[in-house]
Amino acid sequence: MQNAYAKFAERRQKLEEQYNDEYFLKQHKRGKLTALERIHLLFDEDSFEEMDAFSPPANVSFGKSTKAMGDGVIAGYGTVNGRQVFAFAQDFNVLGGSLGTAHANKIIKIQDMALKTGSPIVGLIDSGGARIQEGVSSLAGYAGIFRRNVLASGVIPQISVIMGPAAGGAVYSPALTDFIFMTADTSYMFVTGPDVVKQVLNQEVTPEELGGASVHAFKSGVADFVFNDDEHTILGVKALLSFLPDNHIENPPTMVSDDPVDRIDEQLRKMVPDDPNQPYDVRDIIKTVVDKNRFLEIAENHAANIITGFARIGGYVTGIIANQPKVLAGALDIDSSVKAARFINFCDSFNIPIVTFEDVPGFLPGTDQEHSGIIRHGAKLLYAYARATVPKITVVLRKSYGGAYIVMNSKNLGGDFNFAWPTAEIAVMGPEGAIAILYRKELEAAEDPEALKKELAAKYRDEIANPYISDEKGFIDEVIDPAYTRLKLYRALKVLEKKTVTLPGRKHGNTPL
Amino acid sequence: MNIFSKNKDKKLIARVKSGKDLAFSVQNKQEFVHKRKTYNTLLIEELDGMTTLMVNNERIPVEIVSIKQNEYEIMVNGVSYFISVETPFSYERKKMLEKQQQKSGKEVIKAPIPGKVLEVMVQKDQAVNAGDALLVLEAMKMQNTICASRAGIVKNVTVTAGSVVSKDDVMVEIG
Amino acid sequence: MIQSILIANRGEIAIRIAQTAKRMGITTYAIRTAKEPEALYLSAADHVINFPNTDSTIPEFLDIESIVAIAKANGIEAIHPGYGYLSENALLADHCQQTGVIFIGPPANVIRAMGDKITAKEIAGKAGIPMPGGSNGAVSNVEAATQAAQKIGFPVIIKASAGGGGRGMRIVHKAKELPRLFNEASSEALRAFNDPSVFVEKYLVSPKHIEMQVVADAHGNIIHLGERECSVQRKHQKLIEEAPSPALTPALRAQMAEAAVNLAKAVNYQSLGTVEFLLDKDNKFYFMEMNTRIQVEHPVTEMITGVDLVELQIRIASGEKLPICQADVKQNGWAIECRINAEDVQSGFAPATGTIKGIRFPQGNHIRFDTGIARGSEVTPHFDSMMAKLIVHKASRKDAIKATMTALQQLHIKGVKTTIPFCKAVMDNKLFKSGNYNTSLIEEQMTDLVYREEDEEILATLLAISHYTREHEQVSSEMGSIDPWVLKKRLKSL
Repeated sequence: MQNAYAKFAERRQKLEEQYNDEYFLKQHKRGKLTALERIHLLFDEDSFEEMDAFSPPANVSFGKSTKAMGDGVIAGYGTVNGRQVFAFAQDFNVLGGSLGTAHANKIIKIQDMALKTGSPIVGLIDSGGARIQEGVSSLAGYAGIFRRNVLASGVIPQISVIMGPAAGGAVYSPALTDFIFMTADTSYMFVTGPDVVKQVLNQEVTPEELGGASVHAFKSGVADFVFNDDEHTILGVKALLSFLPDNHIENPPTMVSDDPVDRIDEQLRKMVPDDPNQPYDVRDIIKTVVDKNRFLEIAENHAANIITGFARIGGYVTGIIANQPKVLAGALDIDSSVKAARFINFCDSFNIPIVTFEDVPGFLPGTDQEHSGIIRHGAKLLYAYARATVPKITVVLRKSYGGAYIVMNSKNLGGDFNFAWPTAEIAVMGPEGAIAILYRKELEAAEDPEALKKELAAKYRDEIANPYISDEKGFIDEVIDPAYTRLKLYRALKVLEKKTVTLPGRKHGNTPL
Repeated sequence: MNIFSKNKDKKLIARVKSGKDLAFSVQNKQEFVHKRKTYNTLLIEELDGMTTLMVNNERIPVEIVSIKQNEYEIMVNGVSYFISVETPFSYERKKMLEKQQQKSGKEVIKAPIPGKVLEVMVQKDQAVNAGDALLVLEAMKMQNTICASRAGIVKNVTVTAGSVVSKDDVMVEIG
Repeated sequence: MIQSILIANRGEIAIRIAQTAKRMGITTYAIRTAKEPEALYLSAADHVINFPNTDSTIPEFLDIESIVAIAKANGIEAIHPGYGYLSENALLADHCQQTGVIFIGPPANVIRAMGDKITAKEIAGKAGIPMPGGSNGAVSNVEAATQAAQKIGFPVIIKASAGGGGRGMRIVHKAKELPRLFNEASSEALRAFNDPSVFVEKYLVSPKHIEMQVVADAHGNIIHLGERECSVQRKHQKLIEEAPSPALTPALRAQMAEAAVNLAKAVNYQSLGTVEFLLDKDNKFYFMEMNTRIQVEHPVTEMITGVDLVELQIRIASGEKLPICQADVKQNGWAIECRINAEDVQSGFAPATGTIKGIRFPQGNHIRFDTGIARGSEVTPHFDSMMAKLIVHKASRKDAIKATMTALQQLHIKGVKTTIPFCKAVMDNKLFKSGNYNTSLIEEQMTDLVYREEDEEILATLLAISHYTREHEQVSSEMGSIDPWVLKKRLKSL
């Protein structure tokens, strides 16, 4: 008996010795925290339970081997702000965090458990990629992980946090999950690394330039969130989790708010400028309307002509989508359509109501957009809005023209509540375009075409491009006083709390891709 | 050595841009100790619209101008302080990264105020010296010549003559 | 006596004018523009008139025809243009005269003569007032400007003929900078004054800026109300003014006053006017220009003389004789004015915008606070950045500086960046305190342009730290409960 405990204690002792000063220092020198520290930051104190802590790396005959316990990944579960979450953290200190068979099996085990128990899963990634010396087994390991990512998609929230390298095929696990976080300066993601780029294309590029956090935040749109360092990245993950339900059956978590739902804000009346061509920051409107100005924006630097993010209104978690007049006048293009469509799909999967703030002059014109397939990509947004069965509410702030009007959750596309501010202009096209078509002959004949244009534009605005025709026809449910937007949205969300829609049965729809 | 070993005494470091780094130990969410002095703080939104920071029963009108993650712009008596709140680890990390970046830093010229670009004097890949005029921005009826504050190569010009810019929009990047 | 006045201006000066007019029993009218329909100045007038919707791109307060039409349509007797905008526009004075509206200011020909800086210099020269060298008349191109500059030697200053307020003005230190700066000045002048013509003048390095307040009625009476010193300037924008000037001896004051009065006589001046001089290191003074309007900094003169300058303007415009003579004018104590501008001093005085979320200002018998803003006011890029003026009056310069500092410490504006910390830095500046400062004070003599109160840095960090700590507090959320109706349907749809 004595002996049994001694062995038990010895193993524990060895594991603790693995986490010695040198272990921490190695990673700190890189400006990164260790896997162990990251796990402890994520979970509530003393709540983390580790699984398979002692799995050794597979025995291999080729290359370097190590006796490190855990095979370069810490996996387990615990509570995050009191809610059960599964997580794994790759350990760059062990074989560069490379993925071997045991490593893969540990991840797969908790993926399966997260799916069985309907709990969110967080992957903290810091890995050199597939372990070369284990050959095809490690590739098979990735395949197993990817398949489970897909199985769990839309069932439980999956979050990937890139806190070091993520290279090669390994990047596809994060890509299959719902959200990707990256840590600035010390993380990068690419399918083929700088060495390959050099060999194949003879191009010199640094890892940062190829796939650093800012590349993915601004250009590719791969990263949904970028934070300054490991600690704030993990705090960001916790903030995101606070908006998400555990799984697709549950409702998102409620939070008692001391921000009164009947807070009237007269500032809102001034937030849309009188000049229809003057830009403004729609974030100011969002922040004024939601609880305590708190808005967690997703992919803020990518496709900035559309804003997506989470907030609460009267405690209800809400997915917010808004055209951003400050960027490209808020016009829809390929990137913004895809960004918003993906966000809608997530909200719909996890029972999060969608509130859309609309100020859209139309789709961005041009050969670049047409040739790159704005038809295909715009259809994604249309499809996402039309398919979503969660409560869908639209507030038309200003412009709402043509195809973009239809796409942005219009009434007949399935909007549950469509509100408009008095500043709304809803029509087939803007005054200038409409007049050029309708009055071409008159304008050609006119002595002073500019004056006539102005006159007709004013008339058009007055008679057609306003919210009242839509209101009378029922395409707008109510033209509201901007100051009361918050209360109107809260009441709409409340009445829609019990909304259910049953879609026709099918295997799955054929989403445009 | 790891971040938990000292964690019982929770520390935060405020880095003030072109100022000092001040270390605080966090007693609770209101009480902080700096250089053995305890500061009890309370933030009050006043009825007249002002924000008051109460520190050890002294009332100081303050304003939080902006917050971006852990980076704050705070105004006290009308003076702006740019402060990043760091943990001991992120503090070390930042210093380390700054050292690395000093070798290969770049400067981003942002619009100081909303306005209209009247003229752009530089092109991409052009070499500039500190003080060279980059562009003319008209705001509040005044033409402001925006100059380079350091020498380098123009990496990117995101505006053209006639562009309307909002505050803090990136206009030119110098690498 | 005038019975009604249309105030063709906005902000603090509109309020300032309305206050005096009201005290005199005159009905006041303010103009509401679409750019700031809820501005504070509108509440100061007896009546508010909406500016008519026009397609015109001319800013409202520069639209002569519309403004005069408003006066006519509402039967308003007189127009007060304030400062800036149309205050020195001879066309408005002309238009008023033609339509029978009283223009509160000098006659059109005087405005025209003084408004064209080249003509003004000619007249002043003839009146025997010392002049700095320069191009005699406007220069039309870079070549001519270069020639003139080389003749008088660098540095030179390029000024807009129609200019004022520092617009269209550039200092040129080296010949190679001249083409760029010439074009900048000229295009800025075109935009600001609709007149691209500029002239070149010898640039006095680091002079003092001292101006004389004169006032003349239609009956030949001309007096002066002493000087103001406005040497605290940045890029020719005045920021702090004081009266009297610490640089003037009684003899020098008398000389400058005489020169100012002589100029006023030479042009048959009527109304309130200011003659601006530059004073060099050797206490020699040179004519700069004459402003034919009320100045922003007029309150410092009012404080030490006890004379209401707006009242004088109105009385003169009504045809009355000056109620005071030169012997009645006494300088009593010291007054300092700080301009509270919406500017980010730490970013090179860049104009700042925003909503005034709160304002607290000092009070006391020695304090005057002329403000155009209140809580809720919007500071937009449409207008000049000056929001308010703090004026402090004490027995001595030393006391005035001290009291100004205290008043600034009690003045708090939330929502927009202001020049308050800068003004404090000036009050704390040794050179300013000595009185021996000049226009180079800001750009060359001040090491820190903002004054930091004791412990300010630690207070700022405490705010950041406490906000951060609260923000990163553990948040507890509860799983949302599900209504059985929803749950059943949700499960069924799987």
